[in-house]
Amino acid sequence: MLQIENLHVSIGEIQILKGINLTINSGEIHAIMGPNGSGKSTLANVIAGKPEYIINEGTIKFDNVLIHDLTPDKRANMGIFLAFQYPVELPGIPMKQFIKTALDVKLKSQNIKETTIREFNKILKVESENIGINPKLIKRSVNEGFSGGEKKRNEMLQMALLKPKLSVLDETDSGLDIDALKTVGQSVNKLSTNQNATLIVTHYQRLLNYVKPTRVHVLIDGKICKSGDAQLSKDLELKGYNWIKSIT
Amino acid sequence: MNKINNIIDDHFENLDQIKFLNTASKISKINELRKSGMDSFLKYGFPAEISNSEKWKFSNINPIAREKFSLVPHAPKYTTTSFDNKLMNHPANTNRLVFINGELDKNNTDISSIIDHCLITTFNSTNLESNEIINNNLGNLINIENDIFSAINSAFLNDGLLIYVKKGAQISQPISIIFITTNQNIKIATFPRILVICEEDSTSSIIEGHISYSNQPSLNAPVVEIQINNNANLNHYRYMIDTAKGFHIGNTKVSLGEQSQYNSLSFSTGSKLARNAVEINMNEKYSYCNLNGLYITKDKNHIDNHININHKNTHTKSNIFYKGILKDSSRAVFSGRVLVERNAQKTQATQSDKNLLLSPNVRINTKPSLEIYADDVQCGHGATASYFADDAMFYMQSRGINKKASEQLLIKGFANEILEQIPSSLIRKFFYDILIHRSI
Repeated sequence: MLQIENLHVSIGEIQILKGINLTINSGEIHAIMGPNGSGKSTLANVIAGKPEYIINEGTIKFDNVLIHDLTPDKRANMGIFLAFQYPVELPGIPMKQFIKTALDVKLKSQNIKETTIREFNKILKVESENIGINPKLIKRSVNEGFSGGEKKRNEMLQMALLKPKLSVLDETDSGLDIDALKTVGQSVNKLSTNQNATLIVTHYQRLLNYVKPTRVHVLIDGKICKSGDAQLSKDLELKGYNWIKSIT
Repeated sequence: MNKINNIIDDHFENLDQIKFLNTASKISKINELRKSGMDSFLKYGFPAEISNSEKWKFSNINPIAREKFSLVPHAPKYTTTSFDNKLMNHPANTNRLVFINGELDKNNTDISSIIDHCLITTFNSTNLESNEIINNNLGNLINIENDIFSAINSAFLNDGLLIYVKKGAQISQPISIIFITTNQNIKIATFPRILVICEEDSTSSIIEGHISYSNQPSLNAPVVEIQINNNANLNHYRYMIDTAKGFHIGNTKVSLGEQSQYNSLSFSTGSKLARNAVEINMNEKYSYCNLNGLYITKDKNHIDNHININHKNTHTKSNIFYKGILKDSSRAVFSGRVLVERNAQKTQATQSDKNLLLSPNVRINTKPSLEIYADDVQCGHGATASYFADDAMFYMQSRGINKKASEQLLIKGFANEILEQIPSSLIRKFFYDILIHRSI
């Protein structure tokens, strides 16, 4: 589904990713772990198409299509979803309208008829309850005045409704309490089928207590320096990133 | 025309073809105003020092002074555009008066269904009753000596409009007035004039629209005088859709009686230089005004909202809430001045101006101010300007919504807060329709 080869990415003059190779197949859950400043979030954002990142070398293919020149909305309509580390507030845009617009665009791109408002309200209600979003928040502007946890739950709500092929979670677990963390884990597991894939970007192992990754990769200084199965994340939690640096 | 001297020639041409300038009106007040307006214009012209005055600090009117405008001698045979048709067929505009380049277009005008509740007439087709109303009220709220554009408007006063809402009348349907400037091979100047009198205990709504199609520089300088008597209530909706070369200098003057209410909504977009000046005199106790506004600028547009509210009596209440969306290298000015006179105790006044900046090259000068001479009042003011961050655009796009749709969603979202203040769903829908039509 996702094939990244020899990816070099910079912002301005600063080189951040220095040759990433990563293949994610349908049905897989991958975790990217790494210390602060290693380039984890850059990788997540560059897959979604954040404009200020420059790809200097290498390729990103999604479903065998080169996506470098595609705008973020086109990538989203192909099935890529980024759960933001810092979800953005959109004053004046009601949650409901925003999510329905996104859903309608998605359905339209798949030549499926838009949902009626009634159907949409029904789905929205069910999913918000699953994810534990206060119904009052749905009436507000997108993320405006939401707490950190509420913003992250909102990302999970959008993910659940948009049902992406590839979900990229950019440190969705950071700053969450145990209950919210559990919700994020459940959201990922619930959505996960053999038709889609997930990439979890995280500092810590703790989200991986709820989601069992197929592969774990350790990213240090813009390069994946070690990959392994779920056990790797546990070892990392015990021994720290310096352990990886010492053995590679 | 013997009075026309060099000053006039500097700014206008073709005036010898304008019949009404040589013909005395049968309404004596109109003749007086024409004379005093012209005298004032001849005395001051467009004074160069005007640009340095506080009143025009952020809006340079020299480009207007440099043009030579023409009044349109005869209303051209006008073919309505598809947008005009949309406007005229809109249920909000069922009762409407259409003016083309300053003259009433009888073909597109229809006010038959509200004629029992109010007296509506142009200044050129008055009867004894309306003559008297005009003689008693026209020009009472303007200050010709102090305002060059009120002076010129008065000097060229022709087919103005009187709307006289009778005592106790409850008119639910809005009265819509549409001023259209057509695209001609001359630089058109128009000077619309409206006098509105709302008699005691009446309720009514007016939609005042200004649309220009001129590809040439054009000047539209309307003056609207509104007198709202005791216990009367007026909703005044205004929209201005100007072109990149258009100049629009609007003057709205309102006088409020006891327990009367004035609610207004102003939507402005386009224009090389536009000023919407509003002055509200809250003369009597318990009067109330609520002013909402939305301005959208792009390219090199310049829109200036200039509001003065004078609280002159006790228990008066005013709200100003304006929002602006600025794109490209456009510019906007908001100046709100609320004056609370010494005896206007128990005044409540709020004002707020919020701006959304879509480009680093835009410029906004926002200046809400309070001048309070009474000691028992509740007043507040504030202004904000914030950039539409790239992050917000990326966030929306990452949900599959393309750049243009994201921008429109955002603009609509930002504008919502203003448009949802419109109590009538019919008129609210009308303004949403214009907004979508004009979305940038």
